[in-house]
Amino acid sequence: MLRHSSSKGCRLHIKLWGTRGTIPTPTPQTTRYGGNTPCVAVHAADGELIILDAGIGLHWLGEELLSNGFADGGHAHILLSHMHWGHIQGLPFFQPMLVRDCHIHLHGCGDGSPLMDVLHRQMEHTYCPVPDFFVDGVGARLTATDIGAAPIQVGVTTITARRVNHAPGVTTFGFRLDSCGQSLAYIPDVEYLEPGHRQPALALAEGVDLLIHDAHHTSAEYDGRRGGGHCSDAAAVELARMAGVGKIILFHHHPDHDDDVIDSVVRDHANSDVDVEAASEQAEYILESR
Amino acid sequence: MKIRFWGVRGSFPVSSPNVSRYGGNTPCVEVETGQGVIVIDAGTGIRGFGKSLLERSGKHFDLLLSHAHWDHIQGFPHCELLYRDDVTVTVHGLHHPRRTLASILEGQQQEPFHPVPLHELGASIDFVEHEDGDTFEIAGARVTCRRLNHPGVAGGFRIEYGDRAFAYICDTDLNGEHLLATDLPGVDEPGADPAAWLRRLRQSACDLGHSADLAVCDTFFLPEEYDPDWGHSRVDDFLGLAAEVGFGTMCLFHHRPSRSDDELEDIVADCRRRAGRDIQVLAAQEGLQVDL
Repeated sequence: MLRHSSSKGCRLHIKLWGTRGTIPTPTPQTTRYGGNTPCVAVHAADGELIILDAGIGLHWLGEELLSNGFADGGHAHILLSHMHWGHIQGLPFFQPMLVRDCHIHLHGCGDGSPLMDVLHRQMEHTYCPVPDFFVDGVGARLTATDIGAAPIQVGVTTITARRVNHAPGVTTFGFRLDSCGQSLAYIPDVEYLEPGHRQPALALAEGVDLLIHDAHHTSAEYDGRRGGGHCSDAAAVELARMAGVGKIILFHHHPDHDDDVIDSVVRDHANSDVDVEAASEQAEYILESR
Repeated sequence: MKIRFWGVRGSFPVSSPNVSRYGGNTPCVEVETGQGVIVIDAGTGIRGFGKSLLERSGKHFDLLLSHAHWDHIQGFPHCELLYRDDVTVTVHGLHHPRRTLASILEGQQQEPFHPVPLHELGASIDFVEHEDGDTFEIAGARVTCRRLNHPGVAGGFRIEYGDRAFAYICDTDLNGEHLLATDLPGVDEPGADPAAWLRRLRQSACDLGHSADLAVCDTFFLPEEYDPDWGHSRVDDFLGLAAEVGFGTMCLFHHRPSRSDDELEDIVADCRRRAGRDIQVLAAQEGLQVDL
């Protein structure tokens, strides 16, 4: 954790609400690192809330927001790295979506279809009995923007999105947040099959204080799963080293990896020249200027 | 019949130390008859079932889907067995007048939501759609399916094998005053009587559960939590039904996401005090096996 007490005005507060890849894993063997699918909350110094991905962890973030007065005109930006279920399945269970005075702004890519139309298929009544908050007049005010080449400005925070190599049939982004001198990169789903695949990730992660990065496979498993759209802890740490990041958080844990497996992955990097941690649900990081 | 619980939680999977004893996976219940394997619902619990059947070298199972809400089908694309080409699966569901069962599962895992579409799964998957009240034989057991009162097209099952009967009555608002089920025959025609349908759907729950040795019950709500638009029952509704139709064991199921292990234990203790002395009460717990 990077902390400095004298400059509170410039802090970036990050909390992990979901760390698990693919499908939630609610088992006693995964309680330390967590079983909720991806969701990271970033509170900027100016009070803006930026949410990275909408896995099931989003539900629990919503509960915390509502208990802290969010229902009274709260607003948030949700950035969706891509449309695989694990990254959007929390939306119907994000209670602020049903609160009239809230404003939620979604950023993502519908791959040729409007973003709202793709997400709307999640609310189809065959699958989902939750009131359809994509309809005007139901719940929060909802707006959506397709992610393009231009940076997204949210208050004092500049968000850069780059397409990364993941799975066929779905555009997948990594994000970089620069906020008052602090920086965070979030690359939850990525595979580096050829040198060119690293370029967008390096651009996003270059010199960041904190990098949250896909480490779905252990290095031992990776060879048998090459081409599946995810990378190993070794590839993640290598990228972090090349980009010169302050710390890397291994993220998007494989559903078959229990806490002990993840512990041993982290131990493998104990002597690394890069600071390596595994993403653990409820972990908080505060980035502050020195 | 052996009943095994692989997922017991309602609405969405809950990963929290507060629920680790009863479990956070969404619904999946296995019924092993000795002549085959039947699985009810494909919530996230089906991942564990799939791994277990692989270990037992099983190559076929019949999957009964109560309905297509996410929490009852979301594990399907993540069941490893379905990626093997030596596996066959028959999926059974209630006939939906506007969608085929196959298209419902196809929609869940099509681009851009999942990397592998339904038709590229290795297993050979057949779909059978049943009408309300149909009875059919699978795994040597007699299965009856009936519509229940829950938003959309949803139903429950009764499985009889030898002289034993198992009932799965979830999801439903047993005593609800709002007709939430859709696509019922004639219900949209002039002069249709929703109250008559409510009585009929309640009778279906009675018929499914009648003298069942074990009945899996939708006990999502405590009375003070009840919302008449959700299509779920209160614990008290099923305590009443258990006495009315004579369950051997009443099994609390589809636990609310916020329901902690400690809270659930208090509810079970309270139910045991209030149920008739001929009725056993337990709460479905991941990993629990009940031999009938």
